[in-house]
Amino acid sequence: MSVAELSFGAETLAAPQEAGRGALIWRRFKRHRLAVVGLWIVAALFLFAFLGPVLSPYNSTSIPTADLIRARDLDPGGSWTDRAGVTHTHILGTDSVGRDYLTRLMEGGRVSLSLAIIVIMTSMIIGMLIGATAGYFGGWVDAVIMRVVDFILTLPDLPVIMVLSVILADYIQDIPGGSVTILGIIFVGFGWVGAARLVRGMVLSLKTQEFTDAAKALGASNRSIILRHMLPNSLAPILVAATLGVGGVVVGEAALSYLGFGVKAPFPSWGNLLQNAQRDVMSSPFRVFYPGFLILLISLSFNFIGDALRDALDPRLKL
Amino acid sequence: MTTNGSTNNGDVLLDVQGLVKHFPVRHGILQRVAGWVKAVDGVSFQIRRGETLGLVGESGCGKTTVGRSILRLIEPTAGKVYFQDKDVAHLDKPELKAMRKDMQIIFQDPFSSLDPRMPIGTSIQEGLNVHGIKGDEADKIVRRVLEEVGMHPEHARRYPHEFSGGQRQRIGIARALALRPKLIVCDEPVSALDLSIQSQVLNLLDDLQKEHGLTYLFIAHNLSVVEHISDRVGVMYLGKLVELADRAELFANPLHPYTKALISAIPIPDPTVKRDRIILEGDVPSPLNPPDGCNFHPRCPIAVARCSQEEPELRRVGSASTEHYAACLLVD
Repeated sequence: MSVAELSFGAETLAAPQEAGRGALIWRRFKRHRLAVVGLWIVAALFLFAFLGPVLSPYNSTSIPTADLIRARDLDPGGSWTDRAGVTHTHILGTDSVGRDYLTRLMEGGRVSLSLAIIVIMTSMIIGMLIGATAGYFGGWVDAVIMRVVDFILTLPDLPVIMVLSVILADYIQDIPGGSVTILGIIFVGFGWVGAARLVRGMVLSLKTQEFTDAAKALGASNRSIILRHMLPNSLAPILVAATLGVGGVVVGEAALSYLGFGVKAPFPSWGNLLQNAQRDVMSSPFRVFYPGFLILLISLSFNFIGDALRDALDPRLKL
Repeated sequence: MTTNGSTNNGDVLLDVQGLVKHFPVRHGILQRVAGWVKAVDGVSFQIRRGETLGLVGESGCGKTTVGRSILRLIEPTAGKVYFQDKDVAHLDKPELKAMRKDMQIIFQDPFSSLDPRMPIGTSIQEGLNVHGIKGDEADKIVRRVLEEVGMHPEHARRYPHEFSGGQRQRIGIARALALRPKLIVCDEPVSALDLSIQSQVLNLLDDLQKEHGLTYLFIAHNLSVVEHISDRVGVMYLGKLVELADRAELFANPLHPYTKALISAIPIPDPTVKRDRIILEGDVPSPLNPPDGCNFHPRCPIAVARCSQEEPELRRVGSASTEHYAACLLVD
């Protein structure tokens, strides 16, 4: 190894020890106090929504038929005694058909949050693959895909969703998950375009960098260049968009459910809890307040986290 | 398969014949082709096994395009590239993949030539994996090539941002070397480096060539660098090869007026030497609309009337004992 013996002083000395990338990102993320608070709130809300219904003694959907009169419309902290003499206490009261409101709030969170997470993950993955394909191959592939994207972006989403959910309502029984699945598909249908645009833009600049040519010269296939080089390098902005998107889907679900096109009874979601509560807003204002407050909290938290991630993942900032 | 009159003695590894690459310039919403940039306009040369052919010229003269067309990183418009007697432009996918093993490239910019999200060991291994070498064997090769370029094998797990420009260039060389190629296209491999690092990398390339019998196409704009490393030198101007000769011959006895001007511009580190610098007037014409006749005639100090009408061919010139080619009507 004659060449190896030509050690070049400082050149071959170990590169400076650096903290891992993860630690660096976390340090920059922590500078945003609100985002750290947001992270705690999100964690708490996920526990609330996914662990809560399991721990709750009440069922979120079944109605206590026999004792309906005594159980319904209880105020927070209210309680009633059934024929067997057992007293039931409801921390947040009950709704107009006697279901425990806290349990419904937790179960509604489970529906809203799982919908948001699944929708965002699916639309980001679809958007990344389609956007990377468009950007990488360019030419007519790019032209066709981006015209489809433009078309979807020009559609007014609310009216389209209303029409679609009316049309699809007939098939709700045949689809596993029913209204939630339909809502998810509609959200993904509108959601992937943003990710596709973002990734396409990233790939357009990445593919002119020499490491792309190097991979080509090594004989790597287009598929492997996209999967191994293009996508990992465009992950940071996608992560930010996904985080900001979660809050958006929760709010979108709430808006649609509020209008009656979203998650259908008897399944609760934060949106339809809000809708069902509006009839009783004068007598029981707290039923509007709780789901509304949780929607506000989760979307604010995700927005703060997204903003902090944007700064933390920016490689130009080295703090 | 002879183009320049040189004998085809089986030693020829790469034979480029009449290579042409025109890039379309598009305008408007309909993307109509408004013109063609004649980046490379009929370039022919041969590289023999084990030698280094230097390719020099100003920026924009098409030397990088030549390098990338040979590797089929861009599809040439016309012309033939024979590598080991096979036409590179007409290989199907599996043949092209097999050829890529034998032909590699080192890039100019050590910062954009490595994927920032990939540990350098993985980058080096990528080509091995593509060609079916995996696991322990691939790891062993990565360690070996890292040592060969003067890096520690333990560096394999680090990311590119942890290295300096010179170290990154070594990693780029290691990546090209891992597949044990026969030909390496060096696309300005040292022009982005500090002067002291430049000589280290040049010496490294030199040593690797001796050790592995590599053949280099060395693209550069710095004449001193090319003089240091090349066996033969080709000079390009506006998409055409204007002169091609042995290194010593070219630097001692340049025949084309453009080469003469270039060589007269090399700084001499001795203030007492009086030099006759040839100052060229004007700029390089746009390759979108190159001049008629000889490309160089608008700036040529010795141009005559027929230079603007006749296009000179690259032909053998000078004494019979040396292989010296030039594309000038006024040289014989």
